[in-house]
Amino acid sequence: MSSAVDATGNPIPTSAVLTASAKHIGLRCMPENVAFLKCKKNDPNPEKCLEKGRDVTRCVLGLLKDLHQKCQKEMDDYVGCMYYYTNEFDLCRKEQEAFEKVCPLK
Amino acid sequence: MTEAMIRKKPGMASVKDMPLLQDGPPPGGFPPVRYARRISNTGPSAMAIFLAVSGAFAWGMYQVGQGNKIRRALKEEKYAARRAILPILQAEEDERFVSEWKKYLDYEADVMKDVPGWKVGENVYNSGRWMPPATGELRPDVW
Repeated sequence: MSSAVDATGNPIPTSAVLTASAKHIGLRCMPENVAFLKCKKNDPNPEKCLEKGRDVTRCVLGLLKDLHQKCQKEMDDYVGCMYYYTNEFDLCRKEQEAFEKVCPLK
Repeated sequence: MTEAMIRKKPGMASVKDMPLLQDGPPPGGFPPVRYARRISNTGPSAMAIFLAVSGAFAWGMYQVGQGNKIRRALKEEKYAARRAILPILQAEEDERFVSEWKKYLDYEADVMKDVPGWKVGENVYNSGRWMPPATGELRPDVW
């Protein structure tokens, strides 16, 4: 369960993977996220915001795959550390710095 | 042997004339014992003590503030990460909910198909806003 990828090599969006790449998601998928949240605020009905939700999912999963391809080892280490310490940023600073050196936030 | 045989002096008439053997002070007496108070007036003044204590207090409160700043930054990092991943989690849950809701509406139509005048699904509240279904259990398969 502590592996970051499934059988076909795509990163699984578990809590460890998502928190590890949270800063990247917050930066690069911000337009989709904001659009989805605005739609939700307008009308909380799930059936009305399905399309924007699909945009969000597509952006985030594509971003995870991209990150995993660019800096596989550092991301695996960081995700493993996050899994071990249950998503505590302060306990994984070393792996975080290594990850952000190879896959910078820009 | 009795004391008289050990401590006798020659020519003693009775036991009452034995030489004395008792515990006593050394010759010249004991040295004098000081019992007078001696509390010195040296050391820091009251103002000096007050300034030192309030200086330590102020430095301690400054360190508390610095520590709070660091802790707030850590909490902010955690909350920012949660804000960033909230939309994808909500989107995934929405997809799951919509498919489950469709199955539920089909089941309701199947059950109520012989009841005259029953509009399948969505006969909930009249305010116009969407409310989540209040079945008492959010996800029975999970709980």
